[in-house]
Amino acid sequence: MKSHAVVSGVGITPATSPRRQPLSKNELCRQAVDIALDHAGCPRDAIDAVIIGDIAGFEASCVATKTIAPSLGLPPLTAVVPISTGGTSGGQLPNQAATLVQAGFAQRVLCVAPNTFDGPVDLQAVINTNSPMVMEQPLGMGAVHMGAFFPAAYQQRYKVSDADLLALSEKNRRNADHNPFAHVTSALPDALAERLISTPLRLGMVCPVSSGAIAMVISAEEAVQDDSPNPLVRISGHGSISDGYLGGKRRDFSTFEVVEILARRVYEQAGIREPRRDFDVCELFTPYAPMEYMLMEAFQLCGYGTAPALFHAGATQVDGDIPVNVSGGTQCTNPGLAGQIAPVAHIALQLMGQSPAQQVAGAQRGLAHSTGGTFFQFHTATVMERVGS
Amino acid sequence: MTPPVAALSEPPLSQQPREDVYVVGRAWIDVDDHDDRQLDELIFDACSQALRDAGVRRHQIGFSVTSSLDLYDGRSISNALTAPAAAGYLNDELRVEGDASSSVVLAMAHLISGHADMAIVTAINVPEAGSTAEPAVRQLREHVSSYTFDSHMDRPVGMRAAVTLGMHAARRLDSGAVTWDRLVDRTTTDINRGAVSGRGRRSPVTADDVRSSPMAVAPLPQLMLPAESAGAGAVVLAYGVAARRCPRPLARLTGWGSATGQPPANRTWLDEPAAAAARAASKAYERAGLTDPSTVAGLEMTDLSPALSDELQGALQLAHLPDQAVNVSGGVRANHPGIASGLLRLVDAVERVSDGATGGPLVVHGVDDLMGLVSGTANVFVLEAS
Repeated sequence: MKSHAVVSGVGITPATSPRRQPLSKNELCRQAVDIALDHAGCPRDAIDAVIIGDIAGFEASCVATKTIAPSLGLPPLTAVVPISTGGTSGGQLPNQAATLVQAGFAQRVLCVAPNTFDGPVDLQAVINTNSPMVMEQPLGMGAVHMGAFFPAAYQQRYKVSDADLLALSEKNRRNADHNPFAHVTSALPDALAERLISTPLRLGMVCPVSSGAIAMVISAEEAVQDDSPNPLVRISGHGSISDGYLGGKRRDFSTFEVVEILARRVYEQAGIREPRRDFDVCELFTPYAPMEYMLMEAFQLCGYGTAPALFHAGATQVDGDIPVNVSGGTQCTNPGLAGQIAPVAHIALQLMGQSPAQQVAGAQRGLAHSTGGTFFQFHTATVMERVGS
Repeated sequence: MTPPVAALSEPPLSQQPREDVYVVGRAWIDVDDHDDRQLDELIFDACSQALRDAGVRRHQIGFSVTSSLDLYDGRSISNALTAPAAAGYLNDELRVEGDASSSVVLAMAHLISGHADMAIVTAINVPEAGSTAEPAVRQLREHVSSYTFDSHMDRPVGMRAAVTLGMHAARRLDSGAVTWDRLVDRTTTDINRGAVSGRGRRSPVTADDVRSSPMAVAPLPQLMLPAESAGAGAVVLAYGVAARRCPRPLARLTGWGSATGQPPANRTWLDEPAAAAARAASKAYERAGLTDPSTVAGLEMTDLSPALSDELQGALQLAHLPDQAVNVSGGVRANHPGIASGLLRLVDAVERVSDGATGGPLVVHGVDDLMGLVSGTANVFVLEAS
């Protein structure tokens, strides 16, 4: 049976730092799955397939999916699919689950996004192995440097000040104050937040290394519409895109060019004509705070170079006309795979009217995004709408 | 207390309309020590060949999915390097860390759901081991396999893929379910078939060669283990009219099914290592409307050990097939390119079907072997002439 795909359950565990995490990866994932299945009102034996993400090259084991899946308590022989696309792995999980449902391959798919960063002793050194080993690693290029390229170019092109960037990160930390699953909040001392990391990025603009897990249940709308305990949230558009491998392929660092292509595709699927009017809430994957401005523009929520003005006018606040990263976003909580799926999870809960953070009143349609790879090569987008909206 | 699941109203799979998915192009590249192409160059060449074989252009591809593994590729997020070469540049793309047969299933889902009219599946297994010789590839893969097992319970006692094969073979021999001569005969036949077909990576052998091969993991000597190799391949899939307008659709994929085997802690993996294949086959046959598996004319399967072969063939409900209809180009004991193995098995079957002399549908079985006989996701496909 082919069907619309809907989010029918979400499970999020609280985030902390890996060294304070008392639970193993398997235990955390089991906890997230228990919460998601309970939220969906879905017994374990109704799950047809499980999609689990990891980043083998970043972790202390190979294909963690293999050891996580048996700990989830699912019936024997349940099909398991391991997905790994770097920083978009988490965003890919619900998108691929939706595809399986839309194709009629499954009625209920469980997505599991584990904590990715708990294993390595020096995570930054491990993450830096992601940059091209012949062209860019010899130059000392690491993840934060790649993250700095974009806001530096953005500042130069649009005359955006350091204060504009700092204010954005402060907004997200204030939002995180209301999110019980957030890791970094406004409790972060100013002296730490303002420490320069890689121009123009300061510590308060850079995501923490977090530990936590998220699970989601993606179901066929017809299969759950009569007895779902929650309002259903339809995945009405989704997709991914890859840029070239080397940084030089980006052409223009002041924008995420390929996101504009991706946006056009998923907006066409979902019938989005005027993004700023059509979306009620957005969660954009921003491990570096200034990306929020640039992604808002690439997703056509505003014109190029105008996002800071929109922000200062209050439009992206929870009570603004286009709230962005109401959860506090990736900047405040980044447990790897769980951080990547978090935008989808938070948008789904917003549209159900069950946000654990600040609820956007009357939210009916939302956008979630993830990105990763060297120089943000990969992006995913997921458009969701409350069924019946 | 969770509420009961809503009763599903859809008809059984066998009564639903058959989907219109075809393999329209394929390519396979064996890689040896003299090949100086990098990962992305090999992927690019495999994709280019498959696209040419299909008679379509890169821009017609709407979805690209690759099977590969960071730890074989020697870099983190290795698909960042390979995605653009796999027709993924500015395209919808994905990487699966499992056998290529799982990637085929996801590509089919994209076609059937209407997200794309054409998709390309690529797989690469060129481990960064300094050599592509069988012993070097096996050594790295077993090392990576060790890292895949649970670090507290399984790794400390030496669990890795080959160990599961040895444990299983010992059990089968001890119980009398299979004889040593049968294992030798099957291995000899497979390797020699591969040598004749041109697909194999091992030289022809005699039964005595197999018997006297150095012990790998008791009771299995090296020649009974899969012929670990390096290679890359691609298949182009297409849906409906888009497929039928290709110059030469090669085969129609009429059935598919997936299931994942038991983990190490559940000892049923040792008693029923083919249980996932049996589950996957049931789904595939139901989708294909294949009510009588005796009409199947051939099988390409990933029987990781000769001690598993008969058991797996039975689980696939294909025990009736004579040896010469199974793994005609030698199967895994002739050429086993790890995570790409399922794609090679599919390519072998597609070539047989497209030759038009099979006399019935073919079945393809792929499974990821990172943990040997445990926790592997098995996929089964039914292929028919286009």
